[in-house]
Formats: sequence, C-alpha cells, structure tokens
Amino acid sequence: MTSKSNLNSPQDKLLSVQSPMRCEPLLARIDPMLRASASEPTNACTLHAANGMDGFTLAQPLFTRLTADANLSQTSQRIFLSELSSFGIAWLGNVFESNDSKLQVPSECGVSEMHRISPLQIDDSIEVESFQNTAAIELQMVGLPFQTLANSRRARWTANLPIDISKFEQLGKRVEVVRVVSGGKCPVGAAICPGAVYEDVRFLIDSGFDFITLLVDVQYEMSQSCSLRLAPLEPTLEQSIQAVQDSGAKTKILVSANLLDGLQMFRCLQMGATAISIDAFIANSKPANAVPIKDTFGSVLSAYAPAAAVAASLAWIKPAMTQLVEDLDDCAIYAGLLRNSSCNGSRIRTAVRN
Amino acid sequence: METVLNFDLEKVSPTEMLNAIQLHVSEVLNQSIDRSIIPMVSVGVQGARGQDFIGAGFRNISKVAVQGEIGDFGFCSFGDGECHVEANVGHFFGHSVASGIIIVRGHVKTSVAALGTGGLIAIYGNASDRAAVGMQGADVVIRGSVGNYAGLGMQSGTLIVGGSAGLHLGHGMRGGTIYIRGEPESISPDIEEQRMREPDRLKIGMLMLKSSIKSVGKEFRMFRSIHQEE
Repeated sequence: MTSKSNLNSPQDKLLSVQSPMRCEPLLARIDPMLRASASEPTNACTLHAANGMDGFTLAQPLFTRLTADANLSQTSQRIFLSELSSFGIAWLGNVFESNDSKLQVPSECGVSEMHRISPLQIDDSIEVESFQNTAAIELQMVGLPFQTLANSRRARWTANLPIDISKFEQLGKRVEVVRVVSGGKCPVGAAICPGAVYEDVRFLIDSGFDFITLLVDVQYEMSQSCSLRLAPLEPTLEQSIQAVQDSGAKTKILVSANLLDGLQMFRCLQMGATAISIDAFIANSKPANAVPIKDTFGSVLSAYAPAAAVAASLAWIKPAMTQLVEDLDDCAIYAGLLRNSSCNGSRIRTAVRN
Repeated sequence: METVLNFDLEKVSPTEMLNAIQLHVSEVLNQSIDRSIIPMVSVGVQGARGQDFIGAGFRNISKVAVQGEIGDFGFCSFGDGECHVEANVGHFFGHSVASGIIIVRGHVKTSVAALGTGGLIAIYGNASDRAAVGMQGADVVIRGSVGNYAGLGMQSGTLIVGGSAGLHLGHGMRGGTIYIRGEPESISPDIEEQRMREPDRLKIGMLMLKSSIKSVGKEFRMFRSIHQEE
C-alpha cells in the first residue's frame, strides 16, 4: 500500500509532534502590514454532514469528553459546562436522561446545547429525543455490551461495533438511519480506540461517518492521575490522516490525547487533526489545593453543596482556559496561520490547514 | 379533528415524507392546548417497493398504514401510534421501537425489534435470524417461526413465538421472557425452561389479543435467563 511507504519521508518527519512548529515559508509572508489589515476572522472548526447539510461550527478547535467519561456530580457538570460555555467548546453528553451514569444538564443552566455532541453507546437504542438540540452525534465504538463482563478501567474502552451489527456492510445503513431519524442536519461521527488505525479509519469512512474521534488517551476522571494511554499519538494520527487522504473523503479527524499545553495541541492541529480534546489539559491544570471533585469526603460535600460553593471550587477553569486559548492564538500567529490577534484573547480563530 | 396525510413513495423519498409529517405534527401540537395528547394524524403510505428507512423516526402519529414492501430499518425508533404493514419487511424492522403497536402481515428478515425499548411488534409471518436482539423492554409476537439466535442478548421484554425456533435460542440473554409453542433446534445454556403460571398465560393472551391473533396461552413453553434475578 503506497500510503504507509510515504509515512517515513523527510517531509512527514516535519509533521511529527516532537518536531518544531511548522511555520509558513517566508515567500508567503510578503507585505505583513497589508496581510494583517486584510485578514478576516475564520472559524476554527467546522463539521459538515455528509449529505451536504451544514453541520456545526466551533469558535475553537477544542472539545471535551469529561462531561461523559468522568463521573462528575450533576452540579459539577453544570458548573463545568457553564465555565466552558463562553469559550464555545464542544462537549459530549446527554441532556435528558435520568440514569445516573449519564449526564444530566438542565436547559436552564446556561450551557449552549448548540455545542453538544450526543453520544450513542454500542448497546443504546436510537432515541429521537436524545438527538434534539444536538450539534452532532457520535457513535461510541467502545465498551462492553450491557457491562456483561467484569468491568475494569481498560475494559470500558474495548473496541467494539454496535451489538446489533452482524455484518460489516450493515454499519453504513445504521449510520444512515441515525442521520434520517435525527433529521439529517447533524454530522454523525464515531469514537474509536485505535487498533489497526489505517484499516479502521478506512472502514469507518466507507460506512459514511462525517468525523472520527481517535481515543489515543482518555481521561476518566478530572484528575491528573486518572488517564489511560490506549495508543501512541504520532503514528495513530499520521495513519488516520493518511487513510482520509487515500480515501479522498472529507472526513474530519478529532483527537482525544494527553496534550498538556497550547503548543502540543497546535502541533496536533498542524498534523491534520480538526479538533483536539482539552481533557488532559483541564485535569493537569487543576491546582493542588482545589476542592476534589470525587472520591474524597470533600467531594461528597461538594456533591451536596450549594452551586455557589461548587462554582468556587471550579473557579480555576476559566483562567486556565483563557491561558490555553491565548497560547493557541500565539502559536497560530507565530506560524503565520493567523494574521491578527483575536480581540480579547477569549476566542481563538485558528486557521486550521485541511 | 383527524387529519389524513397520504404519500406516494414513487414521488417522495422516505426522508421527505418524514420531514413533511414532522412539520405537520409540530403545527398540530402548537395549536393544541394539551401537548401531551397524541394528535389525530393518520398517515397512508403507498408505492412502497422495498425502500429503506420507511417510517424511521415516526412519532406522535395516531395511525400509519403502509401498502407494499419495506426495506431495511423500517419504522426505526417508532413511537406512540398504531401501524399496519401489509407486506414483507426487511432487516432491522422496528429497530429501537419505543412505544405503540406495529402489525406486519408478511415475513420479516433479520434483527426485528433490535434494541427496542417499548411497544409491541406483531409479525403474522416468519422472522429470520436474531429476532429481538438486544431488546430492552419491547414485546414481540411472531405467529410463525424464528431463525437462529432469537432473543440474542435480550435484557428485558417478551418474545412470543407461535412456531418453532432455530439454533441457539436465547443466547446471551440476561432478562426478559421467551414463550414458544413449537420446538427450538437448540437452546442456549443461558436460558432455562420454567413452569408456566396463570399470569404468564394471561400475559400471552393479552399480547395476542392486542396483536389481533386468536390464541390462548396454553400450548406455550416459557424460557427465562438463568442470570435473571427474580
């Protein structure tokens, strides 16, 4: 296969996460004054549905899975999303389920549902109600059906297809029926744990997914130590981008990885990712003296504490996110992909190279 | 007042039909005082020649009648109404059905009522493999026979089979009940036969009555998961 032989070329080495940031050549930097004044703000991340309908657009190429993966209390989830809402970051979760294992975010909490990605587990039925007011739908190709086997941290991320699929060709129709039931307006994606990355991504592209989320690292709690590495980042991302290029599709690649600062995230974007998760950054930004979210007596208190007390315990999120966004902004300006600094540092407009 | 919408699938696609129905139902709901009451909207579908996704996403409709064959994923995520299909249907019919009654007068291919969470699906013909796979609360009545792996991974709900069953009946079943009148070719070790009691006969009779099938639950055998808690 030609795709894999090209991966070791010197040009591809430049794309490595470990390599320095790739900047625009000087030839593209003529007349900086004119370029700065003529530049227009662009949205960082746009996901389109495959049927030509508009998907949704994010101000930042960032998303979080903590709202679905971490076992946060309802109050903590609500405050966490409220803190993130001003940054226009996509989040994965449900809004109406009363089941404890699923996210419950009342509509009055001020969180924008326009940035909500609705998860569909391998054993979930296709519910019309869960697709209302959602920006995208993501099939979670991980987990054990009905938790029939002994559960462990890694078993939760076992790669699997939906339980009702008995032939590979049925997945395409299942994607299509999700699209039909949801009204055809939402992009439909898949979250996978990378195994045979190239083959998996090609298979998912052929099945009609609009975007694919690579779960390279997962953060199962909002804590620095609660992270699992499922695959190496660099070769996984390279092979998935190669698979997209070889297929000729416009499928977007999202990455959930252990990226701790703006520079690492920006390198990932330069490699071809459309959006990256902030989960590891959030978990690592939490101050040592912050009130614990879970697993301690303090967390039990926080679960029953007034919202104001929980908000105070999560007050570190907004400054940390502001710093991250500014960091990403700086990287984009340095690389020549962004001409103007954004107005107040709260909204990055990274021109991601597709 | 009941409104009747008729569609010819030789002129519109199933998706266009769904969008038109949703628009009409939302208008009716906006005008009604009590939005919890299902609006009296009847849908007639003609020209069905095995297209996929017919009836997928239908909600808040009182009656649906389909003339002709339905392809795959027919009436996926159906809820709230009563539906009659006059011919055979394809794979994954009634996938994720949430409520209401669906009656099919023909045969059905694989994975009928997969992941269904509620409602009743009655099949007057036979069903192929993997009937009621991963079912989570729906009731399925099949007057004929079923293929292999019927009740695969069922969590709750009821599967009534008037005929015989293929191999591996009830494989991976964790809950729910299978009633069968004929003989299964093989039974999974995940299920065991239990003695029929009067409530079980009443349940079969009631579901048969709702399915418009004449039967009393006397000749059936009952199987439940060995993992199931009483």
